[in-house]
Amino acid sequence: MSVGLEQSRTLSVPVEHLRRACQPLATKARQSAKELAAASCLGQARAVEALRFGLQLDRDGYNIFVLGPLGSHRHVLVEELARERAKERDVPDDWCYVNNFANPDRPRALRMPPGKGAEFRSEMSALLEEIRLAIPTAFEADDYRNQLKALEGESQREVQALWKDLNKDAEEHGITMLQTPTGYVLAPVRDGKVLDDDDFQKLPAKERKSIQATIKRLSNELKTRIESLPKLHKQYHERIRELDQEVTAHAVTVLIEDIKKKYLQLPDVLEYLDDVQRDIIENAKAFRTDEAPVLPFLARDPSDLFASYEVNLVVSNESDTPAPFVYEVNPSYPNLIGKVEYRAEMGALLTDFRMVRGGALLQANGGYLVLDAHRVLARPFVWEALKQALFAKKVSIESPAESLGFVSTTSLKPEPIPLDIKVVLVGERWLFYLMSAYDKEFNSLFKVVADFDDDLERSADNVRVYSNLIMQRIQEKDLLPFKDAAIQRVIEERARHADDSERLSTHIQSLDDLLVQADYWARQRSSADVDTDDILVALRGREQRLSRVQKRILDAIQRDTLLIDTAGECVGQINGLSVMQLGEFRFGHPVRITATTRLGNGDVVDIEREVELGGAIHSKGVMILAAALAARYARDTPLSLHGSVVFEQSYGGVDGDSASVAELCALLSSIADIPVRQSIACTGSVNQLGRVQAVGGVNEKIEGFFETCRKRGLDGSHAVIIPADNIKHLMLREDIIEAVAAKQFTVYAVRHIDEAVALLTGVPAGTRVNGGEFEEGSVNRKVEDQLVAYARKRREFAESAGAG
Amino acid sequence: MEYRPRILLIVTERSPLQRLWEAVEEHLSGTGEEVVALYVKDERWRRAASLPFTREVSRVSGSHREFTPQRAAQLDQDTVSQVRSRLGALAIRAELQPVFEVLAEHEVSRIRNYVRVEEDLLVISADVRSQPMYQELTQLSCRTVCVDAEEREYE
Repeated sequence: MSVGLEQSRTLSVPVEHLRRACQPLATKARQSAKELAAASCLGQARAVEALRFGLQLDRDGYNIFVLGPLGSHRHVLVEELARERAKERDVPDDWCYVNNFANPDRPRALRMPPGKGAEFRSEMSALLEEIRLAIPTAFEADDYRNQLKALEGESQREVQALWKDLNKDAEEHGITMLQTPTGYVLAPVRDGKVLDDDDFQKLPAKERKSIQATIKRLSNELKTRIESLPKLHKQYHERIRELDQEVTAHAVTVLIEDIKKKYLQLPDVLEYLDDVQRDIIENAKAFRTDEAPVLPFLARDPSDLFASYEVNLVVSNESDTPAPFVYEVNPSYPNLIGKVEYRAEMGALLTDFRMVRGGALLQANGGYLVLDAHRVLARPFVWEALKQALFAKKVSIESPAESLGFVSTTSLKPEPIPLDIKVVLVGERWLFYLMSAYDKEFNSLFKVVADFDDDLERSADNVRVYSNLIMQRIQEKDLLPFKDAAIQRVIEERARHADDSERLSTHIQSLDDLLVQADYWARQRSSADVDTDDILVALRGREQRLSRVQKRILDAIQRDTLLIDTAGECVGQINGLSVMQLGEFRFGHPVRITATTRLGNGDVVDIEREVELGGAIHSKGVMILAAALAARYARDTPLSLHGSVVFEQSYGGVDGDSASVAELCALLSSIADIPVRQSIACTGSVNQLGRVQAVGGVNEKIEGFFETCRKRGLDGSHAVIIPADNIKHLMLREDIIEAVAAKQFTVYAVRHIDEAVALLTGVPAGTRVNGGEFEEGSVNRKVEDQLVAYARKRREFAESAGAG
Repeated sequence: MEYRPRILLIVTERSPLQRLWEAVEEHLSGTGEEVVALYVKDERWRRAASLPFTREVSRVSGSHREFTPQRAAQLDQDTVSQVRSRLGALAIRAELQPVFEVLAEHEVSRIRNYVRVEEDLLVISADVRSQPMYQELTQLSCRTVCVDAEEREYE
């Protein structure tokens, strides 16, 4: 009794289903320029709509998170749509930082209409140049010198008058004023000679008394005059200062008034110019200092004098340009928020408002800022700072240490600048879900989600537009023309990339890679266009470059290091199929799965799980197949089996349930003691009812087993069993198609475990006759009989143990 | 014995040392002149300090302090030390090693011992003119250069 030829034929997948070929394309339609442009949005209608919605809705929190895999051209599409929207928006204002004369540590932010910032900066620069010349000229004028001399003379006369009176008074009373290094000593003098104590005692008592009283009086007078000296000096300096201010005001007022006339509509600028005028006048002395300092290195650059009146233009926009679009590739804290720079001067770090630098937030203010989510999160403090800026709707330029309160030294705290920006975060899906789950503020700031699809339906219309997309990429990359057949082959490959013959991958980066590499090979053979062969060479070349591990595994199988039989039969042993993903390269290879069974308590041991090499999904698969076993056979008797399954020679982790069909078949083979054909490999998951379900990587798995068999020589017996639901995913290589067509290799598609069992054992699985026992001689009958036998033995064992 | 001309510098606590030294340097002929600095102490401090009621009024604050003989002696000592040090510094720059002597006011007659020939040069500051020793200096047979803080004049 064996599975008939008819059944095998029924289950074998027809050649035409192994790879869905692309139909010839309508060339004319493909070359329309408009369609080429539209093709860039192919398959992303939902994401594009979300982006447009997010870009147009100017409300708080309606920032956008763009989800999608790397290489899906998210950035390109975002830029395209954002720039389109930016044209409709008003050009944002310019921003300057200027000195805050009342509090230099808090630079002042000046807002100006677009384009005016640069104008104001150059006007201020010209003004300072004029002032630089006007002030010294005013101070060099004779009028100023005469007034200064008059003041000096007046002051000297006042000081001299103080001493003259005192000296005269002292001389009249026979007292001299001696100078010491630190002060004055009043002493009696007679005949030009200071009296000593002996001489003094010789004087009449009355005179001595008078001298002492006079000295005391003069000492007090002296003290009073010394005390009044600083006041005189101060008065003198104040007069000089007033004179200087008067001269400076005369020199600068006219110049500043000229500028003010241009900014009458900007009160903040007028106020600032008033401050500038006041400060220049108050510091008039500084502008006429021509004395060299005592230490040469202390000499100041003359331009430094006017530094505090310079304008630091941090945001500059042109009046006739669209709103800004900024993509910050390196969103570090300073690049995003801005920074205060420092200069080293004589061992100290100095800064001022001129060293405040705006970051991407300011550059994009009034427009759109695109950031990569993973970069934002990977750079310290950036995410928190971004959120803070978006919540506060203003940018405060300060160092992270300052914002966290870790710095106690004084630094600049520039006036915050109001923020009106749309931030677009671009990231992968897992990142979005993580941020969404772990940061409650995230959802209130990024309310619009633009989810980029990985693939699109392979409908006739979509294929046509996809060919336009390919043409557009070819044009953009400046590649050789592609023949129609080559484009068809590319489209087929895009279906393979999507792992689905009915869908096309929208991963633009991998499409670009294929096109560029095919172009390379065409050029290598000096061709004027790219043909199908170039596509194949590009594909095989890529595979070749990345297939070191795959080749090692195949070699190990060939050399019987990894034990895989591709001929003969064996009980409890089956060829499963495994897929390995190494970077961007995925390949399949066979793996031996074995099962053993004996009398037991009804448990099936997953050895991978026991040694913690099996993942949760794999364990689930094993538990499901155990349940399927228990539910299907000898339902009215206790399952008295102990089974174990294992992936032989597997030393790494195993996950996924795609081997559960193979594992169940191995178990059934072991229980029924029916050998499994080793020329067939099997993949698929099974549910508790024995239904075979679709799995991933089916193309790679088939190709993996095909390679193994091909190396040993195809003889027509070799085959792979896959779930019928996976037929739509088949996009197999041309050489496999050829082998199948030549009946050297077969792909079977099954819907139920029974079909797989029959194919693998060559024995019919068998159905229950009238709801009773399975058909005589079938696999299922043998399985059930064995399980009943186990149950009976177990009962006997229990009874004999109880009697004993 | 080889004759070396001598430049005699008369210094008091109020002398403009820089100007005096410049005058000395200007008169160096390169013939290996010997420079002798004579510091004449102002006896007036000592005399004033001997009086029990004299006070020193601070030039900075106007405050009073007792002016005792010890204070006068200390001032003398400090002044001599400062003058000596400053002259030493000036002389180093000119690569000279002047002899430094201190005379009390009543010893000024000893100055004539330092003048040996008419070729010697006496350099004084203008303030010396108002002091008793000036009479003594005018008796000397050598040339005299009188230096003011602003200018120098020859007599």
